[in-house]
Amino acid sequence: MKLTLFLNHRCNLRCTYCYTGEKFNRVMPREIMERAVEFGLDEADKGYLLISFFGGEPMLELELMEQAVEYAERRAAQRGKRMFWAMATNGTVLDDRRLRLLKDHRIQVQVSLDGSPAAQDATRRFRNGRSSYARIEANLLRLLGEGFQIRVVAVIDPRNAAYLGRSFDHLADLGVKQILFSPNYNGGWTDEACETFEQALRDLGQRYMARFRAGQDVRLDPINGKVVTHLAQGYKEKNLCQFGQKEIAISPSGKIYPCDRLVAEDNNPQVWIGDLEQGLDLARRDAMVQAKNTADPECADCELRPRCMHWCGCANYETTGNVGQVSEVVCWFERCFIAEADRVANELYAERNPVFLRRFYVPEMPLPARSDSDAKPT
Amino acid sequence: MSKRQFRQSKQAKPTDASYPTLDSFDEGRRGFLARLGAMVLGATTLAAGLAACDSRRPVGGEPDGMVGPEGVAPAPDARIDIGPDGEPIGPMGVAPMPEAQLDAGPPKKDTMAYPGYAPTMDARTDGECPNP
Repeated sequence: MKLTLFLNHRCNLRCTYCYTGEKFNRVMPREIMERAVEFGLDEADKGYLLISFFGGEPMLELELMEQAVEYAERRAAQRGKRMFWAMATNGTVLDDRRLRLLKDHRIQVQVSLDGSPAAQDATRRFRNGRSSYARIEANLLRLLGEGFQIRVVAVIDPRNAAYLGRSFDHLADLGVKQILFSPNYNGGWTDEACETFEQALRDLGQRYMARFRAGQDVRLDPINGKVVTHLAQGYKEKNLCQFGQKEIAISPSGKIYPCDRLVAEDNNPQVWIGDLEQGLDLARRDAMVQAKNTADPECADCELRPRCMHWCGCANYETTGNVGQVSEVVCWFERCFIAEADRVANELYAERNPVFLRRFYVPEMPLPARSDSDAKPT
Repeated sequence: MSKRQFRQSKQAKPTDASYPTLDSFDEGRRGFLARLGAMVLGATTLAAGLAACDSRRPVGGEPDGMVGPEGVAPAPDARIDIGPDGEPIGPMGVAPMPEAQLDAGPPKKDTMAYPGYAPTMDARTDGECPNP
């Protein structure tokens, strides 16, 4: 069971594409947090609960996070369940006390950073317009230095699409081993922006191959994920999103949502599936799940369907207003990612690249020794 | 406009995947290992058979070399078709069934799993979901 706690709606950045909407000063009260934890433990029928902190910027609510961790671990122990932790942060706020919290409770950290300084400055600045890059890089390096396995999520937007390949290299050079480029589907993808992205994606693929050829194993999604969908011949059932079932998000006001991406400003009753006062509205929840799982008729015969994220209810809702209807922009991004993933994998497999074979086919295969001169591909 | 028409005329053509699926890769690897195993075992058996034909060399393991009449190979059942556990391993020069010893490849990697992370929902894995 995964429970996302929206600790607040406030944030110190003003990202151009933020899907959580306007920023305002509402923080989840402690009482709501405790009820949310109890709700999560009630639903955790497999014996564990993953709580993910989200916002706004969750790192701004240090005391609430500390209280949540203390309360949930105590209650989970009393109820014979295990706790796991995660957090999405913009990476601007980190000090000794926060670092200790992350370390002591093994909180998985996902940092939102769009890549190179130019890419970041194009979309993710402080509220006052200053660049946020330098501070985030310092904090990211500190976390990596402490041994955290950081996943960096970078948003692809028309404003920064041209930097895609350079952003990947920049993050990989910093030492990040898991990078996800996630599209802002509502970014206004004009013909020109699409053209820019398609070229940048090709460049990204070339740079990804260069990493493999230099003996480096960096996980780059969605390329990595799309390769896996070919290897496994589609998404495995267990890997599909558990939208509204084993994945739930709770807003600061205590409303329940089927996905964190639908919380936004917490004012759209169309996507509520209950609240902590009344509990889950099963009829509404089931209706949304059913709507999400109803195949878009236009996709039914598509040969790429098994490899496509047509099932992502939140992406569909964001772009069409219907959790079960896939937009043309989502379809185009999926086609682009699959094509590039196949191009990259075809080449690396044909070369019998040892890092590629080890990552995808033969995990027990030892990696070849690497010289320092290989560390940075050109 | 249908979904597939969006940018279709301008988008690079989708590349067909020529790299194998996990199933076909494993099948190929099993076949290769079986053939390799058969070759190795066949060669070993042949070498042992040739050695057995050499009257100057004791095959039966008796230190005095009294293994049979001069110039006559001992019966093939002397040792070479007996496995370490005393089990017969098949006729001379023929590999045992591959699934017996050769198919037991390494455990299949779960490429969907997040390396090094707790067994959380994030092991969802494809890693394509931006949610933490």
